[in-house]
Amino acid sequence: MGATPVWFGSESRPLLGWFNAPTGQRARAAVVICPGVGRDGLQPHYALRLLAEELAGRGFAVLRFDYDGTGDSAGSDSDPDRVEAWLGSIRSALQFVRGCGLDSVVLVGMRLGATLAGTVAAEGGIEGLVLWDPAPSGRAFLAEQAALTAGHFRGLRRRDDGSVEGPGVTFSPGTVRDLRRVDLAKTEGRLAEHVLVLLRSDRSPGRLVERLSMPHVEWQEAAGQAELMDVGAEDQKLPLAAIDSIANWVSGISPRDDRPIAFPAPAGPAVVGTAPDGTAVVETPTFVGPCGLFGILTEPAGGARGPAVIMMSAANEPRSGPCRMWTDLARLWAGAGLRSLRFDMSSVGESPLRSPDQAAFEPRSPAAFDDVLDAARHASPEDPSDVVLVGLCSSAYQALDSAFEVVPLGVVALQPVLSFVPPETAAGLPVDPRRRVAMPLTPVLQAFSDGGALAALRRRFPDLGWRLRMLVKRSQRPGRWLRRLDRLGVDVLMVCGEWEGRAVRLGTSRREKAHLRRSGRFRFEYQPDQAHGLVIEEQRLPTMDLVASHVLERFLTPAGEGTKGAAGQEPASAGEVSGALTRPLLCDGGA
Amino acid sequence: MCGEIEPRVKEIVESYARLSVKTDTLRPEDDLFGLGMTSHATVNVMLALEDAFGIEFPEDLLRRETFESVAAMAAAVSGLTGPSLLAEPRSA
Repeated sequence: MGATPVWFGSESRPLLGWFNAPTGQRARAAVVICPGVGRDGLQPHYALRLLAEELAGRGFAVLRFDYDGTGDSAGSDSDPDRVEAWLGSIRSALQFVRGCGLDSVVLVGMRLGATLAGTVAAEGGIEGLVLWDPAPSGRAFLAEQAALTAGHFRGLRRRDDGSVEGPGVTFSPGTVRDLRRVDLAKTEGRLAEHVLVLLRSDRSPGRLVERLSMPHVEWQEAAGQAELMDVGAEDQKLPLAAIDSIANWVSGISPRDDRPIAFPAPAGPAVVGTAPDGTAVVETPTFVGPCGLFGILTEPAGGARGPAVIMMSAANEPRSGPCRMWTDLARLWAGAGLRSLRFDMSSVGESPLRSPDQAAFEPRSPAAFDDVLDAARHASPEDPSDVVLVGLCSSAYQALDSAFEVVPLGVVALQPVLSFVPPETAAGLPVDPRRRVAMPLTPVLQAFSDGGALAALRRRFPDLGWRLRMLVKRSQRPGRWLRRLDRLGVDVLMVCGEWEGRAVRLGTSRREKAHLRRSGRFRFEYQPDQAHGLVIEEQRLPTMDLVASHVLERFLTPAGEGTKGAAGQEPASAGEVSGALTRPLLCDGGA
Repeated sequence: MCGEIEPRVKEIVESYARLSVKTDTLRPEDDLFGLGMTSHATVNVMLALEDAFGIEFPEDLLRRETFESVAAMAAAVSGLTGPSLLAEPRSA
């Protein structure tokens, strides 16, 4: 009953989807699940996966997908006509499931995905429509995104070009203009034969109730939505009651008898873009290691020149990475000649659990050590050390700690969080012996955290807790393990804000710093104002530029020197491979 | 105008801001973010203000400063409402 990755839509601009279907190549009806956009799309990813699995278990063929220019689909969010492209993606998804032989289709949308699904449903031919915590209109969605960002970050640059910045995604003036035209209250007709609307009890539905007060519309509470959407990754709870309720409703309005379906071919290699020099960028969905972690290989059509770059999912965000960074970087690097694998750690995104007792999307699980080893073996079977590990936040920590097992050529650790409570200790087990970089939080140290007994002391003396720790636990000092990695020949780039950088600043002696400076293998980019998660564009784009350039300069093999696959190209500079393929991520004067 | 709007803004803050302190001692200038209002709670407050006063916040007002205190929100709402609006508020 596992999901099958599929490409669909235009061959020149493929969309990545996930197809769940019952065993036996028969299904009662089709369900197309439309995710939210931006943070609203990342946060409930696992919940939508569970809904798809639940529906498949009840006899439905289910398609989830990434809109054009988002996630792992081709395109970029800086392309023009985004709203029409997103609506077009839903139409393509409908065409895809109908092509499998199913005429009865239910559309399920969450947040802006519901707004878009309702807009497409108004065109007719939809049996059922589920609006799960819908954004009443594009305008309301934009206002929420702007308020979210405003509430989160002090000193945010004022945007005076008509664009709107949400957490992790910027909507261009054209997209803002087009989104303002999307409004569920302004749609006409029944939308579908049957409609279910799930609303949050703590949000006003605006004019939606007035518009959809019709006999064929059923209303329910979007139970558990605040616990799914309004909290950090580690505090998320899956809305199991809402998932069950939606599955019941879909089952209730759909045909009871199943019919044969044409099962789609699993996704193979597909060209997702072309670099300015004409190099085609090819992506291939792949399953990694014995437990079948899901990943995507990205490579230049002519062959790669250098190690494989491995990018890991961060926290509970799937493989496209924070703010879609991994997808953008993968395609950029492929255009320059490097191949990469971006993958979902076990229990995240589309990857399975490694064991039945593993919790869903549990960051920093000990299983992540095995995940990274599997990924290195998959990306570079002949020499698993011939890789560069890249991560952000929890996966940046993992990249550093896994470096002692993989011994990669390099590590790029963006905002690594080194101090945390290891999940295994919460289960009463000792700290996993593979953790050399982690600085486990003890009850005494937790007292310095927000809400702790010593939090006031920390606010007055921010370094106090760290200094005490370095004194007591000298073995955990970053200077110590950084020198070890250096002796192993591992090139390390760390990009840290004030919070993540404190451990390195306070835990590296002058002697160690001098040693690391001499070796030239350690690069520490300290940007104290950087907000965690790189969700602000003016911080994210320069960081992506830095990472893109660093990896190309350090690891791209010059043409003719031990190349992997076909060569013959001069090493491209980072600036030469931006443009058509990706967003303008390589900043030129702050662009 | 702000003086008339403030009590209703405060009611909305009490209902939606999920502050870590009791709101009966809340002063108009108190920093709500310092008192525990999260970015998600800011969204709920913003939507409730729009419904209560029948306004739509323009993008240039969707900034941290607009929501950092009851007084700041009342000033923003005041700038978006005409004198007649208070007489006929949209129901929340």
